[in-house]
Amino acid sequence: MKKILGLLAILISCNTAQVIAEYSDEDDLTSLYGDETFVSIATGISQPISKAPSVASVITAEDIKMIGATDIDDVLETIPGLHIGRSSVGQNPIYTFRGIYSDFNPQVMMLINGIPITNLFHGNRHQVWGGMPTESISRIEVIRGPGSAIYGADAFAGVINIITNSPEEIGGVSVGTRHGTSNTNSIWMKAGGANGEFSYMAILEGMSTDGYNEKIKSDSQSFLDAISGTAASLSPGDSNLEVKSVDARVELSYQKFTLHAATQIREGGVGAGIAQALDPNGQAASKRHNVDFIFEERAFTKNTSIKVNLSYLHTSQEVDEDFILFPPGSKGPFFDQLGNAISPPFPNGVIGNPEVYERHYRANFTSTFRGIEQHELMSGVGYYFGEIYKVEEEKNYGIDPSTGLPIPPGSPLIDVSDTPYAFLNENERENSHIFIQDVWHLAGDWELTTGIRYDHYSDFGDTTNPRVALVWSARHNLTVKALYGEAFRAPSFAETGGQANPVALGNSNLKPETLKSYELAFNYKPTYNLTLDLNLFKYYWKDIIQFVPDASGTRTAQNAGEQYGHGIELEASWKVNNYLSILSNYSWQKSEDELNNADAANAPEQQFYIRANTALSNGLNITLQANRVTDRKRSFDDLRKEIDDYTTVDFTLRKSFLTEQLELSLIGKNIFNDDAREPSPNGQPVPPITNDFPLSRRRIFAEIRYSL
Amino acid sequence: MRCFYRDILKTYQRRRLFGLALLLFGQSFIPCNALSSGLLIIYPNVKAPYNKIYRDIIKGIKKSYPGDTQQFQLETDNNNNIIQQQIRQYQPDVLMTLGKLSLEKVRQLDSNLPIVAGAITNTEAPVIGVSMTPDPEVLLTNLLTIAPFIKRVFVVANTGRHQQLARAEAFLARQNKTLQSEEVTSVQQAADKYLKIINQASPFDAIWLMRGTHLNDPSILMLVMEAAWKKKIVVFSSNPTHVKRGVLFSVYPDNFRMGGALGEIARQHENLLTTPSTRLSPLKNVHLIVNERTSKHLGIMPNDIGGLHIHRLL
Repeated sequence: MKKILGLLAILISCNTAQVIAEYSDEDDLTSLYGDETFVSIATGISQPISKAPSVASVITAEDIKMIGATDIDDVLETIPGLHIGRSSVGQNPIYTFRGIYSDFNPQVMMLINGIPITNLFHGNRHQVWGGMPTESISRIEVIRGPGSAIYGADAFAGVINIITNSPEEIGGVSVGTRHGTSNTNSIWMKAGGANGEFSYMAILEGMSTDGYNEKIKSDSQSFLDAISGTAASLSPGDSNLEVKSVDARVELSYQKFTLHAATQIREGGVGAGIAQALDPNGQAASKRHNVDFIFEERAFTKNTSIKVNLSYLHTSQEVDEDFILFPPGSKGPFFDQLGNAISPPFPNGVIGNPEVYERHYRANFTSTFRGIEQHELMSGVGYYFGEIYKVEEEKNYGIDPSTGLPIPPGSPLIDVSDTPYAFLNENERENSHIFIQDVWHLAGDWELTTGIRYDHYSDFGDTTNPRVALVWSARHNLTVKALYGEAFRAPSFAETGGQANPVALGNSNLKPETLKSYELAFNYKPTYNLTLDLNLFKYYWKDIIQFVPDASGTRTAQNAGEQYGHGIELEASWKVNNYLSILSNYSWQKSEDELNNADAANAPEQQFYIRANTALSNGLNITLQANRVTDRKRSFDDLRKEIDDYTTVDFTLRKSFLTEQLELSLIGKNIFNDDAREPSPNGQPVPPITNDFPLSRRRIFAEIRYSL
Repeated sequence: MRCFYRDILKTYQRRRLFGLALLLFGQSFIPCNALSSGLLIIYPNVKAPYNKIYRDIIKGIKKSYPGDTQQFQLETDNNNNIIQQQIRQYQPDVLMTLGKLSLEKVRQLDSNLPIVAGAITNTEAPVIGVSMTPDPEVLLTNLLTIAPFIKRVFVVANTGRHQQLARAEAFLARQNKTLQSEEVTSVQQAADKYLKIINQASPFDAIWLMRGTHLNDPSILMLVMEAAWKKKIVVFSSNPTHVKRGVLFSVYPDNFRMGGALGEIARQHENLLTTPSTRLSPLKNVHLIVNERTSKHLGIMPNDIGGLHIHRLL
């Protein structure tokens, strides 16, 4: 902490070195409009932030650049009440809002330009996620707490809406590149412009990294070795974190019509292994394509605005290099009832190559009506059709569908697709919904928002989710919000239809998970340069889908779990002067696993974040930030000692030249090289990976941006 | 090993990538226009988002000016020869300057061409053009539309604002309203005057926060806003960022329409040999920005304000 305070002191002292620039046209315009942010709002480059009656944070492209964020996870970690855990597969992010943690993380909805990118397979963003670069992002709006009354399923623990750059924001052609630790290379090109009422933008981003090398000391094969007398484990060894990614985005806009199209292509390693046994060569790939079309008429009638939205999303999970679930020489996790290994060693390892292809279609219509005095009514209807239209699997274990006999070790890969021996079958889901919301200006400084949404699902029936928000403008500088909301999380297809897996069988009778949340939020501005926020929350998470052991020795998905949590979040944003700003937040939460009467596991109970930024008039911009993550409990049946707390400290130095045409940056992450780790899952009888997932150590990047 | 980039090429095919490359870089190769007479717009090279202001003004000029228009982006270190060269190349009938730097540089030239100035807040130079400072009449018209119940407007001004105040007073008088103005020469005086006004004001009065050296001190603004909230007094401002700080409304230039007005002036003056000795016209083309929270506190529903288009609701 002393180091951080020392760095902050240096940063503050930098202010004295500022250069006084001569009075220019920019100063003239600044004095007229007030400040640069306001110029962006006034000229339509950025939209003013909507005052939704929820606890929300907005991160702008400027913040992203300020903190040197190379992936959205760098940005999201700075939000109070949100912490990013890591899963064993590809180190996928687990966006943990207010203590709500699960391995596949389907309780969080991520949208791009308002369109969900949820997959049917595991209900999360994608299993071959591969990160999300930041160059195309205009802003990220994050709602903590439920949002099902508007967004529907999965807007449960939180909603992350990524808004991409508009043509206006890009306004020209620019290129950039970044190189750094672990052979990490990024390159991007952007173009945006307008011709009359037609405007366009295109962004192409590419990234490749070898991934960092932090040793996994023991893995699930280490345990299997101990009980089956083999020596197959590749641990200690590195996680396979190599990633290559390409993101291309286009926006075309004409009058009231907007078209977005995007492609995300990923190829990467399988992290700490699909079965938490190290697999240095396994390569997964994913291609995700989306197109959405928006028609928006803000003055459809005098008091009515309408919006029509049609969208299509295609995703794939592909296997480029065989997934070695357990390494060569392993006898696999196959035992008799006495615990003796029943299989001879697999000379090529235990291999399973699951591939999943999905299609999603959405049509939504929303309208806002302001014709009734003191009211603003919003309503909408929508239809969704999604399907896993192709499932393919090749494997060298289990039952051979052509013979009905076990596949002997050493056999070539057998295609078990479209048989009961594949991990999943093709499936589809339809959903239609209707919602209405009323913002009622009750009297004086009181405003009541009530909303309700009804959803019908083809596979598990109906659900209705309300929300109520009372907003009181108590003083000229104090706003108080009281919020209540309910949410649901649709079971994923892996949970309803998983098969041929002895430890995770699906259950077609699952109900959605449900959440009830109560929040009290205070926003206080004691001076024009200081904003303070205090949020208090309490939630009940029920019918949590868990894989529960049954009499036959397998585990089947059941609506079994229950969790209760409460906590606070404190935020302070202080503009010290024209050159220095400080942002800080602290979160505390306590969640309880009601089923086992124990502390809920894995999510940090406390988080502290502080950032100081100084923008000097000579074009030098310096940012320092520190993030402390503490008090992560183990699950009730996990005998490991508690995972260590950690603090990461990052810096960004940015200097612009030639009227900001050229920008050079130096970015340092975890500069004090802290041994930061995220909890690995517990297992029976022992956790497969005992010493948790190491995060990257110190990383340094150099970046150059040029506007043509 | 299945090659990643080969896969991409296979999937997306070379011609599609080529199409994207064209889209990305095509605009670098748009050729310059050929020589022609008409209007030469000289504007400064400024960083984003300020450059959008000039782009919008230029769009407006081009829309309203019937002749050919050429534009030249001026760098701070450009010398006068470069501008002379532009004038020789394009042979314009009128020079349009946007911003202070352009006007200063162009006035240094020995040119008989009429100059129309825009995108400046004020100048001592005798030029024709449109100021970026909104006309007080426009601000007051907005006030009386949003809050027609107002009978009296208080304002604290720096000395030397007689012309603006007289114009505002005359306008209000025509609407059977009164303007009560106070002149100050220090922050302390401004604080005292505002305190006096706050004590005196009722919900039928409005306080106009004018621009000025002594008038925008944050502590004074906080004092005014806190008292105004409690007494439900309308406060409006000539400074649009004050809307973020709780004033009911403000205005800022509608750059496109302002460009239109500049283009019209250029058209009228293209045949004059000398620049008439006149001052900048006050800005009439503005956008309205309203604070929704304050508006609702005062019982004024933004949706119910008839006859006004709210450009931004904060």
